[in-house]
Amino acid sequence: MILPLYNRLKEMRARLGVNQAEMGKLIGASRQTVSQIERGDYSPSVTLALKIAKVCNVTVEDIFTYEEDDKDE
Amino acid sequence: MNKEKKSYNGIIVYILITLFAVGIISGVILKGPKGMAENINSIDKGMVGIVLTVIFFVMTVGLTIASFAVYSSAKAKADKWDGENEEEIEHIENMLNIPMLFTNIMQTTCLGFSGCCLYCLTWYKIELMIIPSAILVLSNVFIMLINNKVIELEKKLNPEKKGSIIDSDFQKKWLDSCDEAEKLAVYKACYSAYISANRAFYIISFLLFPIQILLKTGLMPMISVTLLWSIMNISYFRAVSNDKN
Repeated sequence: MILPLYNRLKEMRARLGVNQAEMGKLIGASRQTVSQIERGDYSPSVTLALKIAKVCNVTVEDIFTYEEDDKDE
Repeated sequence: MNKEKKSYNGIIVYILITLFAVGIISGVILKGPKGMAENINSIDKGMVGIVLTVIFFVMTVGLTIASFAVYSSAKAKADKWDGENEEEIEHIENMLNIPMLFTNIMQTTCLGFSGCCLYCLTWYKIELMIIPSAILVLSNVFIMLINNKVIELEKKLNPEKKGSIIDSDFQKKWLDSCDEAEKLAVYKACYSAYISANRAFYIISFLLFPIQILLKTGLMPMISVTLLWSIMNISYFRAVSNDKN
């Protein structure tokens, strides 16, 4: 069972008009972490997810979506 | 439950195969062709010392040149980077892993190489010992130079990173300046290294049984392996215990 966490971080970042490094500075993370989150290679902690939502001025659910995939059961 | 039973059976089979292999090797060595151990011990150590010194020199020069070449290429690309192209910066940071890998290889093998060279050359000409000693000193200088350049470039690309290669607590400062994702990557890498090292120590301990008889190495290799293995496991469990507290 795969449990993917989809995110719209790249879209939110484009709305703010910042690059990955600038986004990283805003949320207190590195450019690589921002890149990993956008690619779906890393799921941020609750704290980081809340920081991202605050910076983007939206709720956490507006950025991160949790969907179950039962195809592999 | 079936999975657990399979795991236990696997471990038992693994131990039995190891003991069988050690038994066969020991039997062959002790009861094998006459003079086998003597033949191995009579190998010209002086010649081995010279060959190892040449390999040591070639490896050091080769890895140093390769490291500087890759670093220079990465620096040139970093200087041209516009600050926006995300694929380009990923590529540059992947390139910087290569000189770090090479210096790691140099760091881990240099002491071993120089120790073996010095030991073997004492059977040939003691004056020649200065060559591996000089290579060891030079390799350490190159390692520090390359690591310093790579770290400074990483800090230029990622200004939140802290620490200098000459700091005594550089690794702690660097790790403290990493964010949660980077720390997680480091922790996963350390755990993977711990598992691999445990397996390696286990295999080496068994191999040392016949080797110490064959090569008449004395007790030091077995004591060294046991000590290192113990230190690694004690450090690991202390870290786990401290984390829980």
